[in-house]
Amino acid sequence: MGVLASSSHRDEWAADPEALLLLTLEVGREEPRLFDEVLDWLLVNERLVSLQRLRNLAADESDRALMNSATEWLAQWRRKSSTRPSPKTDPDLEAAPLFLNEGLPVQRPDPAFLANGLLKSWMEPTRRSGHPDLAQPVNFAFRMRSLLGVGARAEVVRVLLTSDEPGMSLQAIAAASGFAKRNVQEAAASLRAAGTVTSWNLGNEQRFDLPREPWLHLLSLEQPPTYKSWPQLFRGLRVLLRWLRDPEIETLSEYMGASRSRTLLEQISEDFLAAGVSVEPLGVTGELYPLWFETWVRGLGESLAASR
Amino acid sequence: MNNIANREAAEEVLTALGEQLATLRESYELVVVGGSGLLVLGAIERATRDVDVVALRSDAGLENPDPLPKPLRQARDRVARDFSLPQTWLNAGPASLLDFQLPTGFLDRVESHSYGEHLTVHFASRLDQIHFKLYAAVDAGPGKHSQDLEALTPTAEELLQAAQWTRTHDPSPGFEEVLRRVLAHYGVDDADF
Repeated sequence: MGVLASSSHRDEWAADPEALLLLTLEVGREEPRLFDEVLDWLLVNERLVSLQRLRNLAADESDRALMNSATEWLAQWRRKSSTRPSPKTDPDLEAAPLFLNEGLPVQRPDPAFLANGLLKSWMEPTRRSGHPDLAQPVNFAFRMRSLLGVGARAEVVRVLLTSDEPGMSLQAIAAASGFAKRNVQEAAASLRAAGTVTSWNLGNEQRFDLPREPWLHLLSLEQPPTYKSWPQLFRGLRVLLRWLRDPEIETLSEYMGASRSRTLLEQISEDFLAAGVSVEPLGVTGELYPLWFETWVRGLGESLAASR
Repeated sequence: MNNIANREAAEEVLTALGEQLATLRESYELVVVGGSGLLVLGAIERATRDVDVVALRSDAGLENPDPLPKPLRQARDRVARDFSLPQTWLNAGPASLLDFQLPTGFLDRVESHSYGEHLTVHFASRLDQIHFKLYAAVDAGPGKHSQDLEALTPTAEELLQAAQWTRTHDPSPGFEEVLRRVLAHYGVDDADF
């Protein structure tokens, strides 16, 4: 995708750039080099990224702190900025280290992160990141944005073209596209007016389809990249990751640890189910539950690694 | 676990409730009557489905527990989920007992157990359970209440004391008639109300 790292892997799915950014920023809290390379990539490829979508997909305060830090950092380093605005820091805001396993004190805090309660050392971007290769399936979202512009229209086409679900509702498209239903409705209406998307009614609900053949012909593709519910899967993973990192969990009794993990699963099950990940501990209760949970987390990690 | 099978199970769910309350930073003192109390006190060994809260105790005295406060319900629901218990496993069913006063000296006789720093349960004493079980046995007829009453092996004096209290709750002639029959079953024939 252009991040400065060596990889010989070729994914067949279409990535969701903003969902992936949010997850990578979270994962990067344990991988400082990855974090800095992603910031650099963001600076080089900002024109392909939807900051609106990034805001829409940020699910909670932790997401927003990371997302705001990254976008304010971006504002500091934009070439077109004649004067770099310095983010204002709330003097009462208590800052926590951004990197979770870095023992060294932060000597020169970056104001973009400090303004969002995070301590990160000042870093000058190298601008060595590459641009996404638009011919790769994984970069399909960028290709759509290059064709249709960064906005709801490109996401609606990406979702309708890659999803196997026939006749998607506005609500389903909105959830997959990361835009508000109103934006999706406007985009879908203009695509329909242009004769590139069809719609029909199921009861009171409007359903949308995209004629695949003409689109595949236009894009010189034999088949569309694989669709995955990235926003939901990555949102669930971020919540799970933060939970697993919470040092308080280690201090809990066996019962409370198990109870908290049940509450966690209740919180993320809808997202995971939408992404096709089973979270139902069928018939597992009592003292067997902690073992089931640990096995489930390990299995999830292994299945995600294997699906690469 | 679909019910509270024994004393260990009762202690386990109440400990869990105490831990849930601790994470919510809420503290309660529950006054409990019924089967779960008998289990904890070792008076019976049968399984019970619920923990019956007759009152909440605070510095101000006893308060009607119905409806249970929201944090307590939240903690209860998590325990219900974790132990596969019905959501009503902790309930304020006997709250109406407060309306006509509890037996005299009730609070002096309770047996108090702490389940962590955030939950204390005051279990009704054996004598007070005899009061409640006699009332329930007369009111509901033969069944678990009369079996519990048998298990408590009340003396004639205890039964008479309990019978006088039950009359403050139900002074009707019909209740008195059944009460006399129940007392006679235990060899108390000359009850004077």
